[in-house]
Parts: sequence; structure tokens; C-alpha cells
Amino acid sequence: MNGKEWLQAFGSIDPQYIEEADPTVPVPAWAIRRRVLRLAARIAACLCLVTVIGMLVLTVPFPVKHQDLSAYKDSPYYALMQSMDHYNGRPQYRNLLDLICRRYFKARTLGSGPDTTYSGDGSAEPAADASPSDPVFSVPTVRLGSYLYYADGCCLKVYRYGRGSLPLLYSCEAEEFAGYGPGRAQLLPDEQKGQLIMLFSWSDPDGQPGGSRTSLITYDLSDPARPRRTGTAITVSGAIQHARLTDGTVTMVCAYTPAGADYSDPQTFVPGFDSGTGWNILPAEHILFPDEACSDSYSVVVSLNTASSEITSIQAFYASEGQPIVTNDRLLIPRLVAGKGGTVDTELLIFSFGDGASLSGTVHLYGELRHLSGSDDPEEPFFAVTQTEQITPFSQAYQYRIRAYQIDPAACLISKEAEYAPFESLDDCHVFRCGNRLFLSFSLNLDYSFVFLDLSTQESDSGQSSDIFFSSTGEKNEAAHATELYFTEYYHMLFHDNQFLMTAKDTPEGLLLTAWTPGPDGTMNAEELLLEGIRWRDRGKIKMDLTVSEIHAACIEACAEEDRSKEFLLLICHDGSSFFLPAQEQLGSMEKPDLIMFTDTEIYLTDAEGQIIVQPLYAP
Amino acid sequence: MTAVEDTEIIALYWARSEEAIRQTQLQYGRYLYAIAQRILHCNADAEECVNDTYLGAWNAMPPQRPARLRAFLGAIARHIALDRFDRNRAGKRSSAAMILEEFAECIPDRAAPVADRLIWEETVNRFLASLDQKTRTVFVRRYWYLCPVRQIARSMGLTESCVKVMLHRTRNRFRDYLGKEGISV
Repeated sequence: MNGKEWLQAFGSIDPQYIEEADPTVPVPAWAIRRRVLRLAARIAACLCLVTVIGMLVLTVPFPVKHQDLSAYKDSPYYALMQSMDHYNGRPQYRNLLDLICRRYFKARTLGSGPDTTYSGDGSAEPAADASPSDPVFSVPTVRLGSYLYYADGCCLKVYRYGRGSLPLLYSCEAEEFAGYGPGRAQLLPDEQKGQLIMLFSWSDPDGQPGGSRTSLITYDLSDPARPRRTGTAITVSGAIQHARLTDGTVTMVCAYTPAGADYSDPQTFVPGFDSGTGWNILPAEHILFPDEACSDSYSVVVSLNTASSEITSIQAFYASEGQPIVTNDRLLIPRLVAGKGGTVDTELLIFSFGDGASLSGTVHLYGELRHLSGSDDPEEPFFAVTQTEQITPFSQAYQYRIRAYQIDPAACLISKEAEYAPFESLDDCHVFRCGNRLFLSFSLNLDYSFVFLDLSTQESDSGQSSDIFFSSTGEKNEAAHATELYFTEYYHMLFHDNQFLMTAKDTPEGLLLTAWTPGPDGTMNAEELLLEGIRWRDRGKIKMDLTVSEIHAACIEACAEEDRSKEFLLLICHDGSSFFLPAQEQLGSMEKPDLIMFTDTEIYLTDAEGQIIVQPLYAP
Repeated sequence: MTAVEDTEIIALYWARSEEAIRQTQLQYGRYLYAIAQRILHCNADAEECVNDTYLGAWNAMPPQRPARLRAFLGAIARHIALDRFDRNRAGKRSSAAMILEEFAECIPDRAAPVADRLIWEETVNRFLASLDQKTRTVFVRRYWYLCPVRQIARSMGLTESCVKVMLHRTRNRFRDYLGKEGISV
């Protein structure tokens, strides 16, 4: 049989098989389904491939651009340069995905919330009556007897203090700083020596290398109504953050960020001082820095004997970030250091005060600092809250984790890691203590929830316990479960200190003010006041908050409910049991009150022209 | 096409009515053309082949009265197309030639006792009956209708490689089957 014969013979197969295989019959449904499935599988495979390639492209780390520092190998600042270069050379974003997330996603989520940026001018400190035996902390306003001293930039103003009025008696401007502003100034009264110390931060409009500076200016108070300037004891790099005076020694902390680092000129990146002998940069051995910095700011800590104008100590700490905490006997400076896996950790530098400030220890905390607080009681621990931010390897989603730390006075970490909200970032985070109870409060960034956590109870009243734990790493072992006490929609944080918290919330009836105080039984006591017809202005700001004589106050931007274009400032005061409001409630069209101080019946404000306005307080 | 209609067409053939040719052309013209075209790859030859199929059907009915008119006409068209293909193929390579190459290992040698067409038909039909429907459809489409592999794959929702593998395995089974039946290849 040849091929043709075979084909002919094969043609005579059973007709049913011929019909069965007829190619002209329509394609059966199962074949179409299979074809569609195959097409879908191919599309899915292509998408997977594109996704994998996309993720590879998105997650390729941006290059680190380190400078060649070999030319400065002999410089005493070579190690510091290396640390600085670690920060300056690292890319702003880890990779393309990080760039996209931060620019678009994160900006959107953060931008939709209220802006609680503190925009006060440093007047968040109380006016203080000087006491020679205790440390005196710098404040913008000092009352000595019947005189009120107020540092308005480089201009020292003297008012006669009295109820109902504050007449301006005298004004004294440090002429060489005229035009250097707007500068921030703080005052330290030294009644033992009959002098007033003004710490004035300024920046030269002509631009000296390396940013802002702070000058310590002394005034003789022989005639308290007309202070006489006696000299400028020292000028140091940075803007004033804190200062204290005790036993004739001023210790001040300044934040200094170099305007631009030119490694060939140490003046551009090393902080310096001028104590009357010209500008000197700090020797390398006076600068402490981590191997891998995560911030480009310094904290400059200077101690000066006011009698002899002799510098007892001066040190600079590179990579510091955030506000330092100063108590009677300790100073805490946080700084950012590189953590494991590209994360950022916090290192707390703890100083004790003796003849100046000396570094007594350091504590390493995981994550970036969100809150740091402490009290003047030497037996009381410090509390810190940090948040870590990591990108999960598979989903590439941001993962946030909060940790609460308790640091005992000897700089020993005795408790750590209350973890919460693993996928949400936090705002307005702080810790406060009441008796044996420790509370943590924060607002969640994504849904604006506000949370109180009692870190010291086993269970809440409702029996609902969270996944927070409070474990011990030291000898003191007071493990306790934390409990979520309150969880609701967004409250605007107005004011908080270690044992008190004030919030505002828009309701259909008006702005609801709430004062929260933790009770000894672990519950949060809430005292409320409803301001009808008023609401939190969209993206409103907290202008300032402060405490004077046990009265807590916050000044915010608000608007009228029926006409939101009608905006005004609202001052809210609370003495721990009752709310107080200024007689007019609204502070009119003032852009910003430059100064607020008050008694239990009156508040004192300075307007944009520096004029003081006195308003009575009343209990609504 | 329903069985009743086929019966009517067959009756027209038996009545020697020229309407039978017209109805066949209407109902099966494209089907027959497709079969011829797949073998000959020439439109004019395929047209001519289809016309010869009508003539073949006219001559075959009567006396024949096919139970499945579609397969009956298809077999006539295929037979005529293969005859023409044999005449035309001088040095040309067509799908039919490719299929013959594919199937070479399964073609009984001349000494094999398959001179009797009936024995061969029964053997092939038994083999086809032993296959599952999908494999059989693929096999018949390829070696009876001479459809390209790609077309078979598309119409059955399979991949080309899948169809090729199925054909290869079925040919091997067919060769083994012929061996068991005592037909040497």
C-alpha cells in the first residue's frame, strides 16, 4: 500500500467519525472557555512579569554618593567628616518606590489632617518667679517684683506689673543686632548678682558661614526699671533651645545646623564660639558624633560662669534631632543614628549637671523619637515613645511600630517596647503618668483615631485587652499589660503635659473642648465644654500652648460655624477643674499673640505691634 | 442540516431531479470545497473537485442510499481530491504530502495482507472506536480532513504542541495496533 492508497483507504472510515470531527461545526463552548482561560492565564502571567520587573525597578536602591575625603585625612575633623558624609551622601529616598510613596501617598494622608504645627515664638514657657536656691530656666518673660521683663527680639522691654494694665517703662535694644532677626530670645534672671541674662538667637543677614548664632547678653539690674547692658559674655553657634542658671553657672543648649558643608573649610560645618577673643571653632575632641549619622544638626551645650565669664565646658553633639529635655538635674539630648536594616534609631544622650553639664550615659532606642518627657523629681524616670518605619519585603507596604520606653535616672532602660498600630503612623504622641499608672496617648494618622492606653493595667473595665505589652529588660520587673481605654474619631490635641491633656473636636452643635485627666482607678476623667457656633478651622493650627500657675492654655485658629470664612483666634484656659475663656472669646483679627501670660483672672497678650492687651477671664 | 432534509435530498437524487444537485450545493458546497481545498491548495482545482463530487453523487444515488449524506459526500470529495492531488503533485510539497510523511511509519507495506479494503476499514474503525472522543477528533481532523495543526488547536481550545503530542502518541498507538492485528508496517 502506498501513501495515496492509504489515504484513499482511510477515507472510507465510519461516517460517524467523519461527522464527529467535522471542522466546520461551530467551536464548542468548552473549547471557547478553555481558550478564554488560556488567554486570561497569559494576561495574568504578563501582568505578573510586568509587576515583578516593576517591583525590581522600583526597589532598586538609589546610589549612595559619598565624597572622596582622602584629601582631608590629616584633618582633626576627618572622623567627623566621615560621619557627616554618611548623612549627606545618602539618597533622600531609599528607592523609586519610597520616593513615590513619600511624595504622593504620604503627602496626601498627612495633608488631609489638621496642621498642628506649633507656630509659637518660644513663649511656651511660663513666666517664672526667680528663686535663688533652685535652677532657673530661661523664659521669654520674667517677673521680678513689680517689674515684668520681656525679650522682644533683641529688645529688652520693661513693664510695670499690675492688675488690669501693663505700662511700658523702658525699652533697651542691643544695637549691634538690630536688623538681625526676627530673633528668638529668652531671659534668665540672676537675682543673686542683680543681673538679667538675655539669650538672643540671630542670623547675620549678610551670611556668616554656618547658620544662626546665640549671644549671651548681660544686663545690670541695679535700677530694675532701667536695666543697663553690661556686655556680651559669649556668642555660640546655633539657636537657643534651653538654658538654665544655677549657682552662678549658665548652661545653654543651642541647635545648630550648618548651612552647607565645605570640607576644605571647617568653619562651614564645625560649631564655634566667641568669648571675646574672636571666633573659634570647637576642637575635634569636643565634638561627639556617631559613626553613621542620620541628621545634620548639632546640639551645642555650653556652660559659663556668669561672674568670671569663663567657659567651664563646651561640647557639640552631632546628629541631634528634636527638642532636648531639661530638668533640675538632668539634660537629655536625642539624636538620630543608623539602625539595623536601613532604619533610623534614636540615641539619648543623658547629662548630669555639676560644674557644667557632663555626659553621664547614653540609651539606645529603636525608631525615631516621637515623644520625650521627664519631671524635676530626681527619682522619676524619663519616658520616651519611638516609632519605627519599615517596608515589608513582599507587600512593600509601610509598617509602623510604636515603642514606649521608661528610662530610670541612672540612664538604665528598665522597661521597653509597647508595640501598637503596626500599620499606622502616629501623631501627637506622648506619655503621662498618674500615681502608679502610666498612660500613652496618640492619634493615628490614617483614620484620625485618638487612643489612650493605660500601660500599667492588666485589663480594661470592658475586659478588652490589646496586644500591647510592657516588658522589663532590667532588674525592675513590673510587667503589665496595656489596655485601650478610649478609641474614637479624631480629636485635635490642644495641650498636654505629664498629667493633663486637652483636646477639641468638631460636633454638629459646635466645638467640643475636653480636658482629660487620668484617675487613680485607671479611667480617664473627661470634663467637657461645648462652644456653640464655633468650629476648628480647616487645617487650623495650634498657635501656642503654655502653663502658668497651674493654668493650662492653648491658642488655636477657629472659625464661625455659619460662616467659615470668618476666622479668629480662640484662647482656651483650664485650671485642672474648670475651663476659662477670655471675655470676648475671640481674639479678633490678631495674626499671632506674641506673648501670653495670665493670672487667674486676666490674660496678657502682645499684639503684632508689641502692644499689650489685657483681657479678663471668665468661667463659661 | 437535519436528517429529514438529508432524506429529502437523497429522494431527489433517486427521483433523478436536478434540484438534488442544487440542494447539495446549498447545504454542503462550502463543506466539500473546504475538504478539497485542504488537499489541493488551489481554488480552481477545488471548485472543479466539488463539481466532480456532485457528479459522483448523481452517479452513486441510486443505487446507494447513504445513512449519513454529509460523510458520504465528504468521502467522495476527498477521494476525487486525492486523485487530482496525485496527478498534480509532480515535485510539489503540499499538506497531503506532509501528512503522508507524518504517517509513513503507519502505512502498511505492500506485502501486508490489507489488499482487502474491507479488512483495512474494519481495522481502522476498531482502532478509532478505541480512542476517546477528543483524541479521535484530533486524529480524524488531521488525517481525514487534512486540517493544519494550528486550525485543529484553535478549534479545540488546545495548544499546537498539545495537538502535535496527541497525534504523535496516537500514531504510535496505531502502529502498535496494526502490529497486534498482524499488519506489518
